[in-house]
This record gives sequence, structure tokens and C-alpha cells, in this order.
Amino acid sequence: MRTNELLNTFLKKRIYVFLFIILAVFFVLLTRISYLQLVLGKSFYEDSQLVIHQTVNIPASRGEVYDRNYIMARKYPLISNKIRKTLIAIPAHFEVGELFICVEQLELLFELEYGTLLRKIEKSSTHSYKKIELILNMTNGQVERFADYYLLFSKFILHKEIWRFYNEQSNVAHVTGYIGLPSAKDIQQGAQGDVLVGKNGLELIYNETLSGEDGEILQLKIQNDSSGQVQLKSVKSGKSLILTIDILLQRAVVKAMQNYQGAVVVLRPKTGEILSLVSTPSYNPNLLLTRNKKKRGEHLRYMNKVEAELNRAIATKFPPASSFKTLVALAALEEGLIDFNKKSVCKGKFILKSQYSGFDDAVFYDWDVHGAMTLKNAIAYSCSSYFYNLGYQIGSEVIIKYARYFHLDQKMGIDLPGEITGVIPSNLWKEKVIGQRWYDGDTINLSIGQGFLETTLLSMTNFYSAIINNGVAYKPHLVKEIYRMGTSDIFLDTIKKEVLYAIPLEKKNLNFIKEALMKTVTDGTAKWPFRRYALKNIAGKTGTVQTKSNNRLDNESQHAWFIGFGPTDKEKFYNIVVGIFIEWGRAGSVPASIAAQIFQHWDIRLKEKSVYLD
Amino acid sequence: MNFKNIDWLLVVSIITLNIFGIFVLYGAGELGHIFAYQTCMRMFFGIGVLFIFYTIDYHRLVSLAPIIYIVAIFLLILILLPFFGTKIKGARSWFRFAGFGFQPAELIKIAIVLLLTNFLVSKNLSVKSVKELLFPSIIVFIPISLIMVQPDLGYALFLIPLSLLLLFIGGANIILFVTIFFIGFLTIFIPLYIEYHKYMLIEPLLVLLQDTSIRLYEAVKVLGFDLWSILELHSDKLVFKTSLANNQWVIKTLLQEENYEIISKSVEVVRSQKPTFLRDFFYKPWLVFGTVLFFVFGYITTLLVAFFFRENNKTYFIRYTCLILSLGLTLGYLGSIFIDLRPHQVSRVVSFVNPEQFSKGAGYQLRHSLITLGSGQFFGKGFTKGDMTKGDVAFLPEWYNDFIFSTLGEQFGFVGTGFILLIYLFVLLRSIFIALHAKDDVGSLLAIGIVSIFFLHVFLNVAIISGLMPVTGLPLPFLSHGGSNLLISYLCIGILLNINRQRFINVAS
Repeated sequence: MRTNELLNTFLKKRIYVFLFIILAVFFVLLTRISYLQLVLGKSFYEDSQLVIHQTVNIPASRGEVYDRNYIMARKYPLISNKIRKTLIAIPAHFEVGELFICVEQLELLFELEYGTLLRKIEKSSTHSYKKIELILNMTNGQVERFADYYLLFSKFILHKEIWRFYNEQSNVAHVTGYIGLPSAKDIQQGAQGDVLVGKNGLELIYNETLSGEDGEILQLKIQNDSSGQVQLKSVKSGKSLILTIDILLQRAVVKAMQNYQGAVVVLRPKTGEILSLVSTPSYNPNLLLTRNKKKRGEHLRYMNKVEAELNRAIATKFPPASSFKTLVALAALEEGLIDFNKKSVCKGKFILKSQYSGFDDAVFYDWDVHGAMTLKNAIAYSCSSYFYNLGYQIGSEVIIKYARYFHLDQKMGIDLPGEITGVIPSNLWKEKVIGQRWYDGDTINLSIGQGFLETTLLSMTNFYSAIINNGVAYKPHLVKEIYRMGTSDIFLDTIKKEVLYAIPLEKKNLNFIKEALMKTVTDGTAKWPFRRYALKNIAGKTGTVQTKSNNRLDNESQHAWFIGFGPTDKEKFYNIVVGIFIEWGRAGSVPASIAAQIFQHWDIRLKEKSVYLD
Repeated sequence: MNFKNIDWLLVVSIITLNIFGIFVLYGAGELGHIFAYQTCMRMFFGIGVLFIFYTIDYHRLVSLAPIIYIVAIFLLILILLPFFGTKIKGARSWFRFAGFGFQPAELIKIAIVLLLTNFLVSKNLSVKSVKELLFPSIIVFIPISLIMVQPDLGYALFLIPLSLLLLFIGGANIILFVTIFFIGFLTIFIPLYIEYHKYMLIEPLLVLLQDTSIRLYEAVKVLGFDLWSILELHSDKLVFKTSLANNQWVIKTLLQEENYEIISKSVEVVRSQKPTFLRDFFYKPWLVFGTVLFFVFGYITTLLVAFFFRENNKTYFIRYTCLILSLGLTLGYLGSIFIDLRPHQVSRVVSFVNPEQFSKGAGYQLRHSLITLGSGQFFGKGFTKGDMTKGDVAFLPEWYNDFIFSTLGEQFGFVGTGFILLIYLFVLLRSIFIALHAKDDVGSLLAIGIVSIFFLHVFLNVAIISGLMPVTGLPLPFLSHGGSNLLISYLCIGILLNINRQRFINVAS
């Protein structure tokens, strides 16, 4: 090839080297391509013919539920999804006598005692199509061993199912609720017939959040190489819930409540988070989902008998009794109708003069004769006759007004189903419901929280948290975070606190009430239970409800309340409000001792710094 | 315009390539019809560009090289700004203005070729000392680092062999060349090696964390490879990257004192479970520093020995080994600190070294590319009969762009691929012919630069799709569906034609 002589000879030499490189590289490329297309071409062609376009529906897994410590990288799952592998045999798939031999061999394989599996197939006829569950809950080791000898046992069916497990058994049943088969109404609303839906508790309220969305993938399969998958609709697995519940506290509360029938609510006044919510007697959601029909039936009968499904913290209402006196005192102070130092002498009873001549005067008894009382002592020692006087003096309107301020007749908006409202009686209400006008006696009853007044435990507890918060109460809630783990991202929704009501109250009045409530614990009605645990800086109020039988000697006929908060020497950040209600209890000292146990647990947790607060 | 001196053979062959590309695109499903139509339009536009550059004197282009280079660099900087650059497939490499998209990385190729030509000719085609190589290293290093930031690994790595090839042909000393080559190799190899091992640690780390703390496990799972950048940045208490800001909770989780301790300990545990000498070496900065010092000392000693005892030849080998190791280690180590590779880039390297580990991500692309290419066999499945590119969702990702050669192989078989490779070879040989017959050294060198561009594109692309190299995105000139690449390719051919044309003008005058 003739080239330009003017060019640098060195350059030309290098260009020839480059030319050689190009030829070499193209030789390599052509060799590689021909190797791929001509030598391996046939197998690649077969691969490309085996390509499958297949649309597969992927069911979304239901979200799990954790307690608040999840954020601290400690895991306490309240509800988790477990995978259960069951070994099933269908007798009709086997030849005569074959099943017996196979099951015998299975026993040998799994090193079981002779007869453990054989017993299960004894009754079935040889041509039955009925499934026999040979081994429920196979362990991983068993599955591996089974897989090793799969050819021998290929007629057995290994069934895999996802199964919801309530790790805390009955401890948090009223919070989490349970799932079950959808009702006709659920199906109308779009639930799939075979997918379990929430039936109660958070499972019901957050059903949509938890259940997620099914996905669809387009499988691009090449032989058994399932690597090629294109998502048409990505599976949105159910979002998980991180609750405000502190499971260690919850367990402590359950332990303290084990012998009583009633409810406990532990609130954080600063945010409205519910740290613990217990209603006894409780039920076990796992037993409701079990396949063992006998056990399930037994449990259902038990639940009906003791009304276990009833959430006594939000779905029952009772007169708040003495725990209402705090509100009466606060109302009187706020309206300026009473002085801090006003004294009155308690004679153990209050006589309401009859307005009509010829009728007997109505006598309202106190539970004790207290003697001379200030307002503070009247709260601390729960002097009813003092409050009869006070109530009669300030009138029912003021009490009703303040009870309404504190939403005692409204729903708190907790994220649980079945919340009911309390009842605040008034003239109008009485005429409408009972058909009688409002008597002064009703005012007297109202002033000690008895009579027609009925409240739920939650609303009373929230009233006490408003006392700590200077008149502000937050909406009580159970869910702290809603989150979903994606493959590369995370969905996180933090539930923010919401103000339920904010009432401008005077600080000195609130401080006075707080002091009075502290005195209740140090010297007053709740003195002994707390002294036993050497707890200081707790404030609270007991309450004892006389039921209609009104037999004073029969403690069993009384309901008892205790609502308290603390530790008062620490910042509001660390405070909790504990509301306890016990049906057929033994006066206010029983819930007070339960409260003392709860406060002691909280005290230890704060010292250990093992509780996550933010 | 004088059409007499056009090298019609070259023009016809590249138009054949382009039309063949349009057929391949059209034959691959409905999406392909649209792409084929677009490429058709672009072809006419490209031919126009070709004739414009045919008329422009290449000497003027070479003398304008610094300005072209600065404009290209300016554009590269501009697209890094969120307002101008558009993010496509995770990389901010597109410049979009009034409906037209442009990729400045394409422009920088030809700008570097022009500037290097300018430089080498001014040095009279002999580069003998390290000092003289400083300028070309800088002009290549700036765009590489800018493209790395986008990040577009394919183009960044493309510029290195391109400039090396041009320097080699343009008269660089062969020993100097080997030195530069090895230093460059170490500079790239060390960061990739370190990142590779970081990647391999994630999985055992997950296994470890799964039992101890679930929240951290999920945080690491979400972050994946990004974990390292958070851990490393945290040690300096720096502000986090914006791309990670979406996962604020992850950062919140990781930065809790307790959790940070757990994860640091777990990383130590995982590292000690699988000790690797070279990896552990790079985790000890003082050891790296000491080794570098040792080699620098060795270099100086040999230099002194050579100076005082006049034994240049005997110490030659030791001296250059010391130089390569000290500079390569330093640059590589600095690179591993400052270059921040994205997870998908590292996973490609990992999947090439370790294909079993990644059958889903990058390994999936390669496997499907091989099936697509190979299944064509000798005669191919026929025009519009490809199985792998059909449907709404094609089996082969990027079949129209980086993997078009596989698509071609499926439809037209070895007949098609061989034919196309031969046309490419013909184009390259014809261009070398032009280089050898150019009027002067400038034209010859410029032609060689353009040949290098095409050669590297074809070589790297075909090597990647046939599994000879790790997967990085590079288009195939004239075949791929990419406007910027097509435009610059026609432009390059236009310059080649002008070099060819001036030969006749010279003879005539």
C-alpha cells in the first residue's frame, strides 16, 4: 500500500501496530460470537423457546404488630406471621396397604414412637378423600429430612400456610383484637373470601393498613431459572404497626390484675399515648384461630360466660363515685365559689330538708365521720358529707358544665372499636329519659359522682391527665408508627399527638388539686397500699361505687376506682396516669394497691432507663 | 460543495449500518417501530451534519480544540445542576432543552481527541518525559471525574483507553506508556477491589444482625451498599447526602448511640470472620502510608544509585516498579476515598467476578443477552421474529440501546452479526487508510483518534454483550437508538471525509 511519504515514519509504524491490534480484536470478537451462536446456539435457542410469560398473583402478607420498644432495636412482636408446614396424606391417593407401610416408614424417618402417626390413619377408610393431617407444625429439621427422601414419600402433601400468631396470648387481646373469616358484609365491601380480616381491636380498625395490596408479577421463566421477573403491580405488603403499648408494663399490669374483673388504662399525659390497656377477664386470640374445634368451642363458651370480649376500659360505664369529687372541687374553685380554707364539720351524714311539709327529710350518709374538714382533707379522706354540702351550695349546673368541659359524655376517639360515651345527667336529660324533673337530691348524688352519672374509665383517666397538663388533654391513641419495609425504601407514618380539649384553668387551683391528690396517697384513703411499696410522689384518688343493692357490709356489691398519676417529682415527660376500675371489688384500696404495683414497675423502668420515650 | 472527493465507500457503509440498525429496531416489537421512526429522522439529520463537517477544514477544528474542550467541560458541569440535567436511569447525564436531549459525555470524546491531537502535534509527536504527560493527564482526568459524579461509569472508563491509545500512537515513549498504564490500572483496580469487598460484607452482616437486632437489620437492608457511606461519614460527623435524606428514619436508627455501637461491632466481627490480606491491608491507613513511603524511598535510592554509580540500566526496572507501586497505591487509595461508586455499578463488577451471587440484577442482563444473541444461531430467527424483545415487557432490558447487537444476533443470526462486524472492520480499515494517506501529521493523528473512538465503542460493546467484560452501558455507533451518539458519530465521519478530501486538494495545488 502506497502511503503519504510526508507523514512521520514513527507515526506510521504505530498505526500499523494499531491496525494489527484492530485485526486481532475483531478476530477475538468474531470467534466469541461464532462460539456463542454456532456452538452454543442450539441450547440457547432451546432456552429462548422455553420462555414463559406467566402472570402470577402474589398475596400480600398482613402487617405485623410490635410494641413501642421496637424503635430501640429490641423486638417484642405482639402479632407475627409464622409459617406452618403440615404433612398431609389423602388415603385415596395410595394403593391398598401402601399408606400403612409409608406411614410406618415415616415414623422411622422422624424417629417417632411406634404408633404416633399410625393412630391418625387408623379410622380412615382406604378410599377416602378426606385429608389427614399427619404432622402439624413440622420443624425445619423434619422438612429437610423429608425432602431428602422425597421420592419415597412423593404421595404425601407438604402444605405450607401462613398463620397469624399472637405472641402475648391473652395479655394484649383487647388491644390487638383478632382476625377471622370475613362476614357477608365484609365480602360486600370487597374482602376476598379466603383472606382473613380483622374482627376486633386494632386488627379491625387498621384492617386496610395491615392487609396491604396484592401484587402481580410477570414471570419470565427460562426453564427452572426464575430469575427473570417483571413486576406488573408490586406487592404492597401490609404495613406494620408499632404501638404505644409498652409490653413489659402491660405484662406487669396483667399480673397485678389477674384476680380481679375490671380494666386498667395507663396513659402518657404529655402525648396521649396509651402505655397499657388491660381489661380482665381476657381471651386468647390464638385459641380463636386454632383448628382444634373442641378447644375453640370451649374457649368461646368461656368468653360468652364471663363477657371476655367486652373491653371494660372503653365499653362499660359506671358512676365514677369519689374519683369525681376532684372535678367538683375543681369546678367550685374555678368558679370562685369556694375558698381553699373553707372548713366544715362532717357529722357522717347530710340532711336535705324536704321542700314539702309533711314529707321526711332526705338523709345522705357518709362512709365515715370525719369531723372538721378543709377542702384538701375532704379530697384526701374522701369526705362525702363535705361534698354534699359543696354540691348543694354550687348547684348542679356548674358541675354539669365542668363535666362537659372535660368531655365525660363524649367519645375520646381512641382507635379501638366499640367505644361508648358516658352519661352526664341534667334536667333536660332526666325529663327525657326518666320522665321526672331534677330534684335537689340528684344534685347531692351528682356531687359525689353517684346517681345517674356514668363515665367510662378512659374518659375519667383522660380528665386526670388534663389536671397534669394544665387543662389540656390529648386524644388517647394506641398506634405510634405505621411503617412498611420495602426492598429499597421504607414507608413511615408517625402518628402525631392531637389535642382533644384545652380548658383554661388557673394554675393555683390545679396545684391545689394536685397537692390534695398527693395527700390522698400519703395520708388519705390510699395511704396503706402505697406505704407498702414505699412509693412517694404519687397522686391519686380512690372511689367506691355503691350499687343499687346498697349493702354496705357486702364489699362484693361495690365497684372500685382508682385514678392516679406520678411520679410528681419528675418532669411531665416521665409521668403516667393510671386509671383502674374494678367491678365487684373491695372498696378503693384494692385498685389502689394495683396502682401501687404499676407505679413501682414504672419507677424501676425509669431507673433502669429501659423504656423508650420520645 | 465538491462531492467528487467524498469517500463514497465509507459513506455507503455507515449508512448501511444505520439502515440495518433501523431494521433491527423495527423488527423488535411495537416499541421498536417508534424507535425505528425516530432513528430514521435522526439519520437524515446526521447526514446533514456529516456534510457540514465535510466542508469545515479540520485544521481549524484542531486549532479551536481548547475552546471546544472548554465548552464540553462547561456543559458537563452544567448538567450536574438539577435545573439543566435530567435524571435518566439513575444518572444525571442528559441535557434537555426545548424538546431536544443531548448527552455532553459524547461531545467530550471528540473534544479530547482534538485537544490531544493539537498537543501531540505541538510536541512534534514525541512525548518522552513524565512532565510532558502532565497536561494530557489533566485534560483527561477532569472530564472523567465529572462524568463519574453523574454517575456514568461506562463513559468515564471509556475515556481512559481512548486517550492512552491516542498517546501511544502519537509517540509516547513505550516505557513511559507502560508505567502510565499500570498506574492507571492500579488507580482503577484498588477502589473497585475495596468496594467489591465492602459489597461482599453486606450479606454476612445481615445474617448477623437478623438475630441480634431487627431494626438495624431492616436499616441495613434498606440502605444496602449505602450503609458504608453513612458509617464512614458518621465518623466525621458530616452532613448526609441528599439522596439518603428520604430515609431519615434509617439515619435516626443508625445514629442512636447504642445502635451505632452494635453495628460497628458487627462489622468488625464480620470482617474478622473472613480475613483477606489485601482488603485488611487497605483498612489500615498507616500501613498503606508506610508502604508508599517505602517505595518512594526505593525510587529515590535507585535514582541516587543511578546518578552516583552510573548504573542506569541495572536499576531501571526496580526504579519504575517503585514508581508504579508508590504512585498507583497513592492514587488508588485516594480514589477509594474520594470516588463514590453507586451500588448498581459495584454490583456489576461483583456479578462479573461472582456471577452466582447475582443471578437477579446485573447477572440477569448478561444471561439474557447471551440467550438472545446465541439463540439466533446461523441464519437467525428471521426479521420481526425475535422472541426476547417482544411484548410489553421485553426479556432483554436495554435491547434497543446497549444490547442492540444481541437483538441483531437474534433476528439475523451469525450471518447478520458477522456481516455487521465485517462492515465495522471495513469502516475502521478504510479510516486507517485515510489516516495513512492524510495530507499531514495533524490529519493522520486526528483520523486515528476518530478510528480509536469507533474501535473502542465496537470492541467494548460487543465484548460486554458477549460476556467478555463486566456490564457497563456503552452504545454501539450507528446501530443503537441514541441521538447524541448518532450525531457525534456522523460528525466524526464528516471530519474523516474532510481529511480525505484535503489530500486531493493538496495534490491539486
